[in-house]
Amino acid sequence: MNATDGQNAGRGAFNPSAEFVRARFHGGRFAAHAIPFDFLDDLSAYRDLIIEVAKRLFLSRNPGRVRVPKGFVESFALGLVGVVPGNSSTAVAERLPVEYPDPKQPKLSMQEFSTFDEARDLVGLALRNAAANEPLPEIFTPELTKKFNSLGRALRGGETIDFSSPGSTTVSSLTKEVRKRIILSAGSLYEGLVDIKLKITGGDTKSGRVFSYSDELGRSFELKEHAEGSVLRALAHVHQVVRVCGLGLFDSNDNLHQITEHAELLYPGAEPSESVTEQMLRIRETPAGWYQQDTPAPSRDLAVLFEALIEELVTGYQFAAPFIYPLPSGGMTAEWSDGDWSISATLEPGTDIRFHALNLDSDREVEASVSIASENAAEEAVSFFAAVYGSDQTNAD
Amino acid sequence: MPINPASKLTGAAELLLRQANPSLVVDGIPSSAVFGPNSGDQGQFSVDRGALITPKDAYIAYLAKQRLSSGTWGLTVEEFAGCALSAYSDPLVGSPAHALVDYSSLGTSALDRVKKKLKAKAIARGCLHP
Repeated sequence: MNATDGQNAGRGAFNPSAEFVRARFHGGRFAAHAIPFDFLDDLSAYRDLIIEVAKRLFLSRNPGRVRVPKGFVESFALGLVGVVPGNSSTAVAERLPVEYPDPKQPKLSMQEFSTFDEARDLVGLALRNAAANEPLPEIFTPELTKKFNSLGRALRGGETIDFSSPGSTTVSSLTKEVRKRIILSAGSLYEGLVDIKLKITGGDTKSGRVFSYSDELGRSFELKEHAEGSVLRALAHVHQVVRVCGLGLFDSNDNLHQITEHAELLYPGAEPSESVTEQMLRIRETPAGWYQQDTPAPSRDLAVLFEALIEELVTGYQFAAPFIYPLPSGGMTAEWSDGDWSISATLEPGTDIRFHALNLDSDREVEASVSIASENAAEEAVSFFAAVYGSDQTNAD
Repeated sequence: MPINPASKLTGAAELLLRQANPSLVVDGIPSSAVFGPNSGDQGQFSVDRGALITPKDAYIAYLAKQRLSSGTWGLTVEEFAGCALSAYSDPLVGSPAHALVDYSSLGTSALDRVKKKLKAKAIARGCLHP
């Protein structure tokens, strides 16, 4: 199969003149002949980089101007029009037709339009120069060079993205090493993915919710927590080791200097493989008689309210996802295991939600009753969790 | 169901076996509801005596009654006693290993507390069969 076949299959006639770039992914994880979703962000980052270089090109040729003409950036839209399988996977990106929503808006000149082709070629040249240990083209000021931070973040050793232009046999390869060399030519640190185990060494919810962490070498890092649930969980795990995934700044020796963005903190302890939605679907489908002959099916009305509350706690406040089970009474219960705490939220017909937490180490207990019909049910539940984790903090102090 | 005080189990290390309904187990983790009576049980919790039946045979016998189980979990007489719960032999026709643990003195909060403690101990021991 070739790219043209692929286009014809999905989009009708293929217009080769619209093709802007091909990105061939090979090595490492790409050996599976598929492009992991992680790398779709790279296609978007590539487009953004081309726009930045094109803007710089335009301004350098029009010294009297401080900004590009209206519609310049919008004139450059890329669309992924196909993926060509083979020994590797190749993404084919076309330049999409320019739309002018304002008919009075002046049309871009052909030269302005082709500035993006030049930008693509300059990015390719930068990649080739870096691979050959040669200086980058002059247009790449330190500020512009740092834009490469967004491209190829998820690349691992042995993985390559080869960019090529239509009608050209020149290939410009982006690897982890080439990327690092380009960015470090403009500064002392480069941005990369962080996946590291750190110990929470302390935290303060009163001053910006900053938590401190240390790695096994004793180096310190600080992270900010924003969501109420994240803060409470971090407080509950002071002195424990957690896995931190996100973005960080590394030096030329790949030593991590700063965590700039953490996407996820993974705490020890199990979380269910199913989402809240999937678990609640399973509960709603549990038939009558599931436990004993006279056992009612879980109440659908209660299930709707219970799901809304638990979902808000998990997605809105970022508490861990609980394990959810039906109860023979027709109710349901959500259970969390978080460090020494065993926590449950139980809803049975005709009652409020019963929140109960037991610290299995100290025997400390926290209880609360929350009306499922209350508009403030989520806030009241958060207060319960604050009392649970707050008692840990008081104890730690 | 009346409990005969004379039949109180005293072998601290004896395992008492409980079958877990599949709906009460997610990703191999049982709900705390597995480790205590339900509202219709009048505070009496049915188990099988590990001294008289193996976890495997208890599981097979349970399924043979057309009931559902994802596996056999176990707690010792001593672990129940640690939660102020006593266990009594209560053989039934066709179930000579049947026994009861008396939760009847526990209120709602105490029941929540005890079930969580017992769940943690049972998980630490692991599912006994299959």
